[in-house]
Amino acid sequence: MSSLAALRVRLRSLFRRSTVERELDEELRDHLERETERLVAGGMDPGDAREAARRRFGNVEYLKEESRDARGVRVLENALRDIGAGLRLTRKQPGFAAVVVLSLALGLGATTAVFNVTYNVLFATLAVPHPERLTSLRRTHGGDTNDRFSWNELRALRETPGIGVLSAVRTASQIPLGVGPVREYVNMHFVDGAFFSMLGLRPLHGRFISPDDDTARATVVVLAEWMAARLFPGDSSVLGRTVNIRGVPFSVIGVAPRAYRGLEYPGQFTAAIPLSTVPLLAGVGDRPDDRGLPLALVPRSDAPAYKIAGRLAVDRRAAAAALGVVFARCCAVGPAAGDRLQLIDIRRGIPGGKDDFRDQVGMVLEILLAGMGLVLVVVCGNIAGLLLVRGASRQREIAVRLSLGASRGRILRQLVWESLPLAVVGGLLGLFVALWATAGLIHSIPEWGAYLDALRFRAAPPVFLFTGSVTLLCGFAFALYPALRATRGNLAPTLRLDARVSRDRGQGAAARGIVVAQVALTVVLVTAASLLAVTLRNLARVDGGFATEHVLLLSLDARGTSYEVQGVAPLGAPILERLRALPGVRTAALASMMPLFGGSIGSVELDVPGIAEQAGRRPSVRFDAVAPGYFATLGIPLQSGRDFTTADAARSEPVVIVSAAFARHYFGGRETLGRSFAATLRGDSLTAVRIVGIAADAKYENLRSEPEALIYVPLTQTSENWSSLQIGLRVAGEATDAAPAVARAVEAAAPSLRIRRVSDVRTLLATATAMERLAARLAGFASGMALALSMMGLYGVVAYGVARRTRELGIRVALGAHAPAIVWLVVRDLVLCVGVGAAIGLPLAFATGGAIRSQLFGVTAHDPRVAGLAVLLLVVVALLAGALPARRAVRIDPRIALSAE
Amino acid sequence: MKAEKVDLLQGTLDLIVLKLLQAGPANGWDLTQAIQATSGGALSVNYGTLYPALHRLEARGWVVAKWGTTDHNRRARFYSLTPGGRRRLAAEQETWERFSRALGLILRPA
Repeated sequence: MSSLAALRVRLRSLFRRSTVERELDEELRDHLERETERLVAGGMDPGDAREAARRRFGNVEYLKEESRDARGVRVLENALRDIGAGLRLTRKQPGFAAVVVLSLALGLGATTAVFNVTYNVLFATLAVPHPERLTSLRRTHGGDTNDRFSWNELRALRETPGIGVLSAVRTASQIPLGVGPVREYVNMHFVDGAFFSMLGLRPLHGRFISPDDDTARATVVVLAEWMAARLFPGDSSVLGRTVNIRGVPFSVIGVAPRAYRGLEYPGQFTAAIPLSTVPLLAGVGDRPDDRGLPLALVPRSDAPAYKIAGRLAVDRRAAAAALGVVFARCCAVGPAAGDRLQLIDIRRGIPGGKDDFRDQVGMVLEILLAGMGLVLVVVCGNIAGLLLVRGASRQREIAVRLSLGASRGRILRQLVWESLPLAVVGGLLGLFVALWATAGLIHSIPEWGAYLDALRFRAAPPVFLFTGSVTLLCGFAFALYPALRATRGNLAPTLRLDARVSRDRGQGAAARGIVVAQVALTVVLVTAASLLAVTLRNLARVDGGFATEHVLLLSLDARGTSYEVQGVAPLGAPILERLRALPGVRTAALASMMPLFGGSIGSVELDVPGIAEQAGRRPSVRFDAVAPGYFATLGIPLQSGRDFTTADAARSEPVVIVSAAFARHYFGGRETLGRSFAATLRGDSLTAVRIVGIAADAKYENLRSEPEALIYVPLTQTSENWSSLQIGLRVAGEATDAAPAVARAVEAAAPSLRIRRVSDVRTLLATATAMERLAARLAGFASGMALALSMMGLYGVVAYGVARRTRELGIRVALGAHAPAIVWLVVRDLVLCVGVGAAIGLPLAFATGGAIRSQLFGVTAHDPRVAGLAVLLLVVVALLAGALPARRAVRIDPRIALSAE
Repeated sequence: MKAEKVDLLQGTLDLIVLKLLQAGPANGWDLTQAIQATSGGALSVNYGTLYPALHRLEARGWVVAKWGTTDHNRRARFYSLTPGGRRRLAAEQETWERFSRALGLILRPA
């Protein structure tokens, strides 16, 4: 520090000058000049006077810092300046910047994508104001729950003072709705006049159903935006237009906003009409059917037919207490005695519907989110490691500035701010990655296809908030530690050129610590990924008990068609006849439900000799009503006995074929064939049936399920007329190729019958493991990334060691050290990092494997092959990371190494 | 060097500056001279610390700064009290007097 001028030059080079800055300088300079003048006037030598004035003044740089501090806006000013410096630095080190930005973008992108889906699946609330006030009512009796209430009960509950608004809703699926030739089969809401105002929704166009509409039995309909667009394509004014609902004209009075998706989760709001119009829809074919169709309309006022949703004016507990009292008095009497009322929190949609996949996927999503979080930690660790090395190279610059009086906090902030642009760029790129990755995520789960709209990457505030805060967190996390290290400790050694080693040793230890953590987390991620991959492989190898190739499945539905009254069953014979005549079709069969494909699911109660009732209930099993040829078509082997034949007709002896699991469970391995038991196959009364065959077990639900005790009955011997039945075809070629011809044949046999779904067994199998495949892929991505980053970290440790010890290595080579000794010297750190990392990581990996146990299939966390694979991969990565620097070390030329510095 | 110099108590510099500005606008150097003169040279003020103090007071809105010219035709920044600064001065002065009275009571019996 020779002079004030020199000092100022340095300061200028460090800080960009602004007006305020210039003023500060001017003010301070003015003071010093005047003080000097005063001292000179007092008789002092001008040089001494300047010196004295400065001494009296104190540390200029420090005071400037103080003044900047005092100005308040300083933090922002400095931040902008540091960010600018960071950007300039980035230009000088494009490789460093690329690694930081890309790894952050991938890590943040994947994390955001998983978070986005997780948020939309698990946490998104209904798109109505104050969804937390909404409730739906449920009655429980012992372990049974039911969400239907009678009109009388609803009326009584509504009278409860002060609790808010209760509204009645009925829903029915497969209601035909059309305009001209367009015909859709939709989910219909039947709502009372209070429903929409209870929700607090605003219509997109027109108005919602009002109490007047309900009392006047007005034939008006509210359409969802997407439904309006589908019915009236390209038509902007749908209000006042007429749509046909089950043959009755309704006029469109309003359009609901896209964000409203109904109360159920996952929902798809389509259309709503007044509850009072239900009787108008009642057609000839109506039966009292609880499945919603045909509309068992105009239920008696004491029949439980209504769901109750409400908006509470008081808190849920108070409302539950008040309603509970009323319910006990009005409703929990007579046969319903002992029923209790529950108020369900439906802010995230009414839970527990048949399509509610949250329980199923919630844990997987949480695991994936945790995995992505670990990747982000590894990413940050990697960047911190790189910054540490960069910090080491800037050690002297920092030390000079500290010794000039810049405060540690100021430099710390500078180092952190400098890193921020990289974090922000990484975060922004990450959003794009997330956009793309989210699409990939949701398309990888076929069942989510129906809810694409809800799951799609949307700029929902929570998602942005998440990405933004994670980005900033990462930015600070990876920058702060190196910055703390860089500004710590004694300055003197750093300022001297020759004493770099002692500090370097500290930096090296810190870098090694980070790498050890990376390795440990990588072990965890790789282990989890291999567990999930093995699970997927095991599931793919599961024998479902049915043929996987050349089987095409169709679902036929008579609801809402001219066949509604007679059902599909009478159409079976003519349809099968046409199908069997098609070229390439080997066999064809009908069944009420099919493996993995589902269908009409029913169960019967049993009375099997020697099997006692449990808790006063007869045991119950599911049944599949099948036509002759079903087993051959689906490839389910008959272990003994015979298939059904056309001789097993409605009036002949009731017969069944049972699954092997059924035989084991109810007959305990004794002779089963030919024995009889009783089942409620026709109504509630028991019918004696004789077992004529035993079928091998087939997995109907999913591939993980245990063999199910199931009975097969001839379609002809059931009392139902089946509004929906499934067709299975064994074809010669590719199953899906046959679909168009099959659809034409069905149409020829039954012109207006609906084909609701078409699939083939191979697709179903892929669908059945979609979640597992997604989990395995994402975990694979996560561990791949962790491995790559660990490799980079390990390479850094070794390369840094070689660079630092070039002189020493040169001396050793000059003294005749052999190559293996040199290599060992440089890879020792590497071996140490990998060893310690694995030692920490393996127990963590076992714990992780235990935590995700429920998602695994046929493999456990303690499988030595899995841990072995993780260790093997690490060794490979370590070898790759160490090879290049080790080669460099061995090739050190002592003459060059010793003459350096 | 005089032995009798007293270090400034924490937080008193603001009070001194506000008090001195009560007499009218002044620039930084004037203020240092005034401190020196009015305290009879007894206070040891690191002149440099005055400027951060001024900027701090300015940031809090107790003083405002304007560029002007001194008697010797130099450009300088002149600081003057704002109404808020006056109120602050009154409050600080009162606090200080109460404090020094109390301290006096404690110290007297000894």
